[in-house]
Amino acid sequence: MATYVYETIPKKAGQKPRQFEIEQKMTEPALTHDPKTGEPVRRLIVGGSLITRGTSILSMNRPRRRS
Amino acid sequence: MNEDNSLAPASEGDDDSARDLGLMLRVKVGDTEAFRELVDRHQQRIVGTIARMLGDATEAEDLAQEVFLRIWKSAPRWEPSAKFTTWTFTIMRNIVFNESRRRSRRKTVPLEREDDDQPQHQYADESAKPPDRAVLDAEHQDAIERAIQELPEVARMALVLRRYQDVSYDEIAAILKLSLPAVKSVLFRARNELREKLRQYLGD
Repeated sequence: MATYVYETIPKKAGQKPRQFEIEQKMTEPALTHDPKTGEPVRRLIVGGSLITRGTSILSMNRPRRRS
Repeated sequence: MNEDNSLAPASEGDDDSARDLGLMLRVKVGDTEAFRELVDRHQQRIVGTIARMLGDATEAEDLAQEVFLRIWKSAPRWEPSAKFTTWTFTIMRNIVFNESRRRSRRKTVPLEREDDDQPQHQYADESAKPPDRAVLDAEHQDAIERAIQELPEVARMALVLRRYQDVSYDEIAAILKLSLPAVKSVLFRARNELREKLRQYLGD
């Protein structure tokens, strides 16, 4: 089982998203709600201050690396 | 006999491997649609692993592009002798370790670490509420990511591949060019180190 990082999607302005980890099979679809609280959630690629929400690496609209 | 079920073949894993193999055979003859699907299937695992290795999510996306570019260029000569994910993670390992070496030569310091005396990401919050559960969880998550980044390079990659990408011990051994007992030992030490660093977040 892989460990995935999720964050809650705040409903009100000013509310902070809450991050949590959960173990899932790779083949399981991403959760849309926190199984404990029912809050809507999205899956992150990396959590903490490294946070990235996953633009496609084939997209041309990504910030470029500083050279 | 086999106490570690990560070593046992999983049918869903076999299905995934078969799908990757089929796609790669098409990529080998220049099928761009098959390549796009391969990228979609694996990019998050590659970006996530590189980000945790280097502590830099934007850089991770660029380096992940390099991984896939190398796959595309090597595809005509590719032979299905290893599992696609093992091959891909090996390419990623080479790119990441090269980047680490390049960084250590340039002695770049992440901006967040410039001043160790100052707490990181501490900004005045006008609402000035006491820390609530959300804040503590984000802090906890951040502590996990930082503790992982402080592990030695090989241990860090072994741990990230095992914990976040569910890569088997056998595959990690092939990717890191280590024996199976060495992988288990590296992971054992890495987990202990993490447990030690995250002690304050564990327990009640």
